[in-house]
Amino acid sequence: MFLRRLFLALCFFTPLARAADMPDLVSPENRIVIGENDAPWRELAAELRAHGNVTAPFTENRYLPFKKIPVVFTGRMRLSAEGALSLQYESPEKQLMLVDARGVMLRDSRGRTREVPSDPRANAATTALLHVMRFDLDALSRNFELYGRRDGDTWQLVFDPRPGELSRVLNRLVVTGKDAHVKQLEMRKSALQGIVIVIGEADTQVKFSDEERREFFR
Amino acid sequence: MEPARQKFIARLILFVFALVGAFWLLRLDYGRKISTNVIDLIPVDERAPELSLVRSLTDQQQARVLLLALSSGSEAPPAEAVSAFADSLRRSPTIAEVEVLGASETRNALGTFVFERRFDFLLPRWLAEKHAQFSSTGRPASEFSTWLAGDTAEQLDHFLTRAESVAFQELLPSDPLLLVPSLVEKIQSLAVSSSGEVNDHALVWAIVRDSPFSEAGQDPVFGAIESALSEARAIASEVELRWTGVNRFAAESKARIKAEISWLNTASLIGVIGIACLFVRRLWKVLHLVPVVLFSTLGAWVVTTMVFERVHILVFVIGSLLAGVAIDYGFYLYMQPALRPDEPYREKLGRLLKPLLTSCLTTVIGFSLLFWSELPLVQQLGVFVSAGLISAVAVAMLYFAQLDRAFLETRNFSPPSSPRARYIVRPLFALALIVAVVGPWRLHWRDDIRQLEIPAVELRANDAAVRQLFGDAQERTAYLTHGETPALARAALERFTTWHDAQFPHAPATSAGYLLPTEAAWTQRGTLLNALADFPEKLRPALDTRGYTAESFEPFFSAWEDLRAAESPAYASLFTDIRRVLTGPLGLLFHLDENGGPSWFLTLADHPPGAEPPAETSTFGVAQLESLNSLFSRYRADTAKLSVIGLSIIGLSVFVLYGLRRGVRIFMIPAGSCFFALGLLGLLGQPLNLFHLLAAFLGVCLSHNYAIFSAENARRHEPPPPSIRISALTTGISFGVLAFSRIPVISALGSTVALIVFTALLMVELEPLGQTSGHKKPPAN
Repeated sequence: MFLRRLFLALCFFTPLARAADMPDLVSPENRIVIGENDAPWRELAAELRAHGNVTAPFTENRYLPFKKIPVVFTGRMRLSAEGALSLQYESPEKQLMLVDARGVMLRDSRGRTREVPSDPRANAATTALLHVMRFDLDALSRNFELYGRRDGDTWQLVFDPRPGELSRVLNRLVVTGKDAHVKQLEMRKSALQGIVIVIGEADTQVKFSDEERREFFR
Repeated sequence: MEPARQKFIARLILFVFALVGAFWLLRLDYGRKISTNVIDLIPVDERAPELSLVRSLTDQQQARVLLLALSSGSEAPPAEAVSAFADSLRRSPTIAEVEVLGASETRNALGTFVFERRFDFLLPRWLAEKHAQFSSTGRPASEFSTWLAGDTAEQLDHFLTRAESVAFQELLPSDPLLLVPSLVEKIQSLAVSSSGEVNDHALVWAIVRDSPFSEAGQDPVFGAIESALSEARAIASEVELRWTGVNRFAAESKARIKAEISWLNTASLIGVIGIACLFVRRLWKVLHLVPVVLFSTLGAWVVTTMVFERVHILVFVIGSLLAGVAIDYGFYLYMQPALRPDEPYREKLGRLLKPLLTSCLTTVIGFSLLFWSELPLVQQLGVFVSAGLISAVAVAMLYFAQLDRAFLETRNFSPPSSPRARYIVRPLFALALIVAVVGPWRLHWRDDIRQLEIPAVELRANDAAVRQLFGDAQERTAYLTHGETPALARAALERFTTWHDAQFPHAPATSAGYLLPTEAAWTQRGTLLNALADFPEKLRPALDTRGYTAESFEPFFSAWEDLRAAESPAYASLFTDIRRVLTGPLGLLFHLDENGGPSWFLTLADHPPGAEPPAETSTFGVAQLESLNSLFSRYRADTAKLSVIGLSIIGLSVFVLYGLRRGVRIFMIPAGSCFFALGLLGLLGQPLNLFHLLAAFLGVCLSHNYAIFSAENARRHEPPPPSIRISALTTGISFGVLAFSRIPVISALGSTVALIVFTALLMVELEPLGQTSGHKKPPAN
């Protein structure tokens, strides 16, 4: 029993541990200053935006301070060219979470839709996530300290919130990618609390049917 | 009596009447006496409790709400500007309460309260439900703790698989029972509608101190809002405001009604003068009819304001038409020539007294019956018209008594008498008969309280846009659950929730009442807590088994021990606490009488109106407009009943006074005109309402006058007296003008009365032509 728990803990805590071991990335030489050394990142942002609508399978691991193992969600994400992010959860429960300019909306397996009431902190986090999805560096730099590093065709961006509402709900946001594809999103609250979304093979330039738009967006 | 003495007494009585009337009216406080509130049309002691509640809710609560949306271009204005705006409103004595929606202080205060008092407000229901579930398993009572611990850990697991659980992560170590998340889920839609979550607007909710239908609730409030906007603009000059409130509609409606009365009266006056110019030889002599109308109106105002504590403005709008009836007596008395040059006034009055009094008193009897209506407007109208008519006939008799020669000469426009005319007239009567018989069967009714007001299209559009910003756009059904005490109301809410969630499983109901436990659950809490003495010991391993670190939940275990050691507060104290914390829009969702009196809860559900809750839930659907409309339907039916009784009495009195043969002729004219008018409206597909009914009643009384006044001439085979023609034409034109009113009910009233009056005039004029013998000669002028 103990070995099984240890194995699970090692497996699932690895992403957070890796993100925690990032002091070498969060250093002055990797800092991105808008208008000074952001040119390569703007190229990447332009390439990401050129993907248009994107869909990809994802696995979301939620790390909780009071739970020894993370809660694992799987599903399919859809990112519209307009910047709305739709997470269609398949397990453990079928449900939908939509993050767009109007806020966060939830839809359960029975089709019941609920809008999540706004909260300054939640709004800050939602807005940040949307800016990340759009790779809007100018907007992001207003709320975050930006750090980035390339290693061959892989790259990693770290967003450290500036003091304010956002910093109370988010300690660090890390985006990892390969070529012009985002592979992992990590939103960390503390060493033991955070969300890691691992993104699978993405389809780009997807044309969403009207039915898909109705079902997964608003 | 000497003519000089007769004149003196008549003038003295008129002077005293004018003096007393003016004194009474001058000392009235018109702001308090006259109401413009549509809700005042409903009796305060309405017999149906649900309608009484809707009346109270609409008048006392919702009508005072102001919804204010501030913007700055395409963004929300700066928080400082919003604060300055709200603070300015708070300082205004006209505003009772102000809340910036979505403001973190309010939400945090509510959140803190719910969290800190979760064991008082939320635990009782949770325990009761869990105990019921446990009892259904059939396991021994000693296993309750063990079962509950396992179930708690399982439910926690399940909750964490839901996407939104991420928002409660910090809370769960203190609340593994999921008391707060469950409540949040249940009242989610209430929170959304009051969250102010529109990105490009800041939303401010306020309550005005005075009634929005009073002066104090209008201009001073508009001033306070202007002032608040100026203060916001001093911080951010580009701030824009869109707002809505019942007082805007009330002020606009009042202004429009005033303008409406003004132009209607002017148009009516022009029409009446035109008719007078056409028919009267010496126009200036028409001025002698003005005092009759003025004194009649004075009498109506004085008596109505004496009898009723509060009178609705519509009574005066509709009642101003009294002039059309009142002038009939003046015309009749004034246009009757003397039988001989030296005939004294008293003698002339003596021979005209029977038709005059018959006409007046039978109409008064009919209108007096309306006093027994349940609807205040109809009661007030009955008294207004009855008092006005009695004043009119009395004043006409007195006024003409003090003139040297009380006779108004007219031009004669009698239709030429020809034996062949009957070949045209009879088919016309036959056609009218078909319309009168067939048409009424095609009538249908539509009672809509909105027809009482002038449609304010721009304000409505603005209202809809602002309400959409406040989250009121989605289709919802509202329910009102009531009880004789707060505890009974809460118990009824529990029964209603059970019914509703079974009936509409995909759209559960949401109520602020869910925050309050039922009295039964509250009483049970102590017993169940005693039975759960070892619950923490059972829960720790249960959590551990499911992969939790039990020590992370120490805040909960500590709070649980404190709860068991603490003394339980009284159930009634929860009402005070909940009222203190649920302020702003949420405060309008319930009424808890702290003295243990009648209370209610409003429940919202995201579905269109459907099945009505059963009686045992003490709940009804609050489609407010529909409730008021159905109320109007009921009042219309009551008024119809009274009208039929009134008309029967009028008809009966005519038969008694004039005998069967003449009685039939007299009764046929008003009854025939009324049925013809209603038949025509029916054939044209015009939906009718309460005001068509009142108009028909008024029209019948007017045409009844013409029938009686022409009866004497008909007996002598003479054409009808010219006074009828002038009277009917002036009345018809006055009412016809009202058909162009923008207030739908006034338009309905005007067109119906005009139709009946013109029909009656045609009947009176054409009837002799249709007879085989025709009439002998025109009366002398």
